[in-house]
Amino acid sequence: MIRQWEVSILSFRIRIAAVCLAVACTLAAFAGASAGTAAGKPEISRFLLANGLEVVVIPDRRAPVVTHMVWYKSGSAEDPRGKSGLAHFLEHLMFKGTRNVPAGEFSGKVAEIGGQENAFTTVDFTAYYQKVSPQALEMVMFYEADRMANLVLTEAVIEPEKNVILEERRSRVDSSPGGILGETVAALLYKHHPYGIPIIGWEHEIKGLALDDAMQFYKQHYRPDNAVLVVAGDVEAQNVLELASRTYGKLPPGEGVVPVNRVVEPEPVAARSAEYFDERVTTPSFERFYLVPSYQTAQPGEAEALDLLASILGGSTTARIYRKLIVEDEIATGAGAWFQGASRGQTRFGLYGRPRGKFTVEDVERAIADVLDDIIENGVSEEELNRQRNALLKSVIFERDSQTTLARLYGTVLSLGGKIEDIHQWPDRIAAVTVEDVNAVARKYLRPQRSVTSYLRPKP
Amino acid sequence: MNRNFPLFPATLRFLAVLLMVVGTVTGAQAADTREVTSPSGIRFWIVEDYTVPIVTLSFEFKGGANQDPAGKAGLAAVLAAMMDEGAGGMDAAELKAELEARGIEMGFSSGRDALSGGMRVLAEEVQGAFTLLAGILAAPAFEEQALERIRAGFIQRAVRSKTSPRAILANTMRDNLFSRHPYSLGSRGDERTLARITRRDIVEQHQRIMARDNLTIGIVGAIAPQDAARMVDEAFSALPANAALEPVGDVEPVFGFKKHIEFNTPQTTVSIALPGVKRADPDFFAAYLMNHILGGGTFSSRLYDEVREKRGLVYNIGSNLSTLRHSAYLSAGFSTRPDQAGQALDLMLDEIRSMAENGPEAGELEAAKKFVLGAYAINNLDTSAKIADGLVRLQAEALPIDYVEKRPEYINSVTLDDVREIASRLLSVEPAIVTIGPQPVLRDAAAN
Repeated sequence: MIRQWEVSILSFRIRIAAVCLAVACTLAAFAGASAGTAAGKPEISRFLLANGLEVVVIPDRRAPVVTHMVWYKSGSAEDPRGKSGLAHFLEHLMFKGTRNVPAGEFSGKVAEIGGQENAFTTVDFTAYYQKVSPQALEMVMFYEADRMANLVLTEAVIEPEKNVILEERRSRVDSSPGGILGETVAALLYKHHPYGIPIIGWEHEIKGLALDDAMQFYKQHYRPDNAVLVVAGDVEAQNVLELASRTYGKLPPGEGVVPVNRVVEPEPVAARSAEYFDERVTTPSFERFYLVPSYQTAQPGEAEALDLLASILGGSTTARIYRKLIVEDEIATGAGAWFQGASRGQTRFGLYGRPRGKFTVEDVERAIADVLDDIIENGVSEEELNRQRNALLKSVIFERDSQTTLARLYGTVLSLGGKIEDIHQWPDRIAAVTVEDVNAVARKYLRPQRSVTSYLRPKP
Repeated sequence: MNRNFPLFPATLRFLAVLLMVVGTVTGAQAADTREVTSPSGIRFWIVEDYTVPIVTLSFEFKGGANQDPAGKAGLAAVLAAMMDEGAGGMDAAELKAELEARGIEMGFSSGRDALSGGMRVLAEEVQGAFTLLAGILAAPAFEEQALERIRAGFIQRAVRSKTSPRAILANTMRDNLFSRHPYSLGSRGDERTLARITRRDIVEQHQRIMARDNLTIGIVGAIAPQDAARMVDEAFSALPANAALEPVGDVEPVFGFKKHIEFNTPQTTVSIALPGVKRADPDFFAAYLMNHILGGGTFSSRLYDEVREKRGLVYNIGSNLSTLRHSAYLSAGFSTRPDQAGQALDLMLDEIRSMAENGPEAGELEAAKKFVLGAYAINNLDTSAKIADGLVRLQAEALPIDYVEKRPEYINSVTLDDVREIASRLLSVEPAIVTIGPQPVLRDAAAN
């Protein structure tokens, strides 16, 4: 059981929106740092198999548990135009059996040993994982490698699974006023890039997805040279390498080139806004999103500065927005800022607030704008930068307490095209950020023309 | 809007879910659990481990929302939220800055039957963290201004839950299952009850609930037992010796009612409830294995196979055995397009009927046993916080320190007949059924 306190007080650094196969996750958020500078850090090993599969091993010998994850460097941004939701559809279909293994056998084997399993799709990648006992590692590697190459789909599974996804869409989007508005906001923020299209797909396009579409996506993207294998937990690196060579290593590299989405979002020129009224909304809320660079697209140091700017603005109860709106002015029940650093393309910096009592969304919007203007005009202080920096660096060590957190961190960074060194050097790069760096990114990126503002309101 | 990691998966577990201590541990950690008594006489369990230089503390005081006074539902939840709003001579802002500066993660939460807290800290800061915790437990400031802020947030959430189909459904189910027992009340209160809570109520509830005789503690990580004992004394020995808890009676839920709530939603949500068994019941494991086969697995249960896998009627479906301190029940549910809700409900009731009449197959029971045996380590031992929570749970259930090593015997000794018998006993009862959506699902359901 994860108690509320344990999760709610963690400070996660990488935020990624994901859609999952089962009941397990909605938004995945991963810490974007690592314990690279601490003494006694875990010995991470990296191997490259001849067929192009990248393998990362993260030992954690404290408990007899292994986390086994395969990450494909393709997500909903690779969905062909007019076939939104295809990457996610395929994620569901990957559980339907292969040339060698009947449907349900893999899940049955995982269940038989009390293991956990799931999969999730994001805009940038698709991941499959199992959490099992160390003795079962070879078994899950055998099955996961098998479904990397031998998936078989029949028409009989297509319709029921599309219906499952339509129900998933009803529960994630239609049942959530914020989810409905969020789809419009993404479309406004990304006028050209496919990040503006929902991961789960538009309803009318989900209905049109066909077996051939899924198989084509599978053949193009599901291949060792487009994948990262991460194994964390009670394992030896050399042993994992041997098992990986015996299973994944037998697969041929893919043919031709993996189709990669290379669309670049043009620079934004006009402030946009969206307003949505829903009878299910009782308290209005305000959010603003700025198009900003990610760790993958930024100039050196800019993403780190954006991370710290988000912390200073509104990442905690000591941050400016919280202190001003919630404690001093008492005009909001919730307010803050965040930066989603993990993204292959241009990403989001967010501000949000929910009015308290008799106050309005406009009051909250104005107060957040005042806090932001003050930073843009006068800059941040050395003292608050150091305070937030230290909090960030201290929290890094906690990641080592969870093999799942580490597996997701390394998998995410490598899937986005980053390197292990990026993770290990992150604390040093955060340490190097100056007041001037933070002020510069605030002035450069938090401009009205880069933003979309969204208002969620009760039905009048 | 909280942008952090979602706290809980979007499952269909509408009602309180408690950790079941089932399964077995083969790892070193379980065997390394030690019971220690501090100089002042506070007992706690500890797992010493220096792999990662952090210390995790988990603790629990018996008595949570079930202690909320009449008309003041939500008091325990507000108390938990108020704990870190200033203490030991520091105002709320100073305290939060201090915790942040030292990299201490600390939190309090309330459940139906307990108030719990936890702390995670770098080994080098552990002494300072326990000193801060001592100040918080002994002399929380409970600032008026913070109370009003927290109250406003709670009331806003309570109002929002009135348009949340899941919340409406859960309230209706609870009201009817547990009429007039504290369990029938929402543990986070509503606008009326929250408005009545005063600072004095919070001070009194703090004194009543946070004592030494209803406290359990688990500690995991880079700390020697004798140091931990000294720090436990510093943090907890100033608390009152005895809690002043209102007695809470055991309650048998009422089943058999059928309710429909008219609500304009894109999906109809269905929840049913049936009898369960309490944790201390000798039939607990038979019931647990039966529930796992019926609807407890992730991608492998009868409900999942029939309703999702074969027919694509739902995204989520499952059943859950809820064990509270004073009651128990089994719940199951799903959401689906309104025109399909009747078909999905019929399928679910068919599966329940078939399990009641015939029980599981021998092969299903074997597979379920293997799952339950293996799942314990995988689910509960991979992070310090989970281990620390587990230590607290075992103690709160009054189980022995070597309990988890004995689990395989208990699980393996469950026979097919045991499971058939419990399936028949629990599932032959007329279920409570609550539905919410644009049109009724059952002909004989009462409008709520």
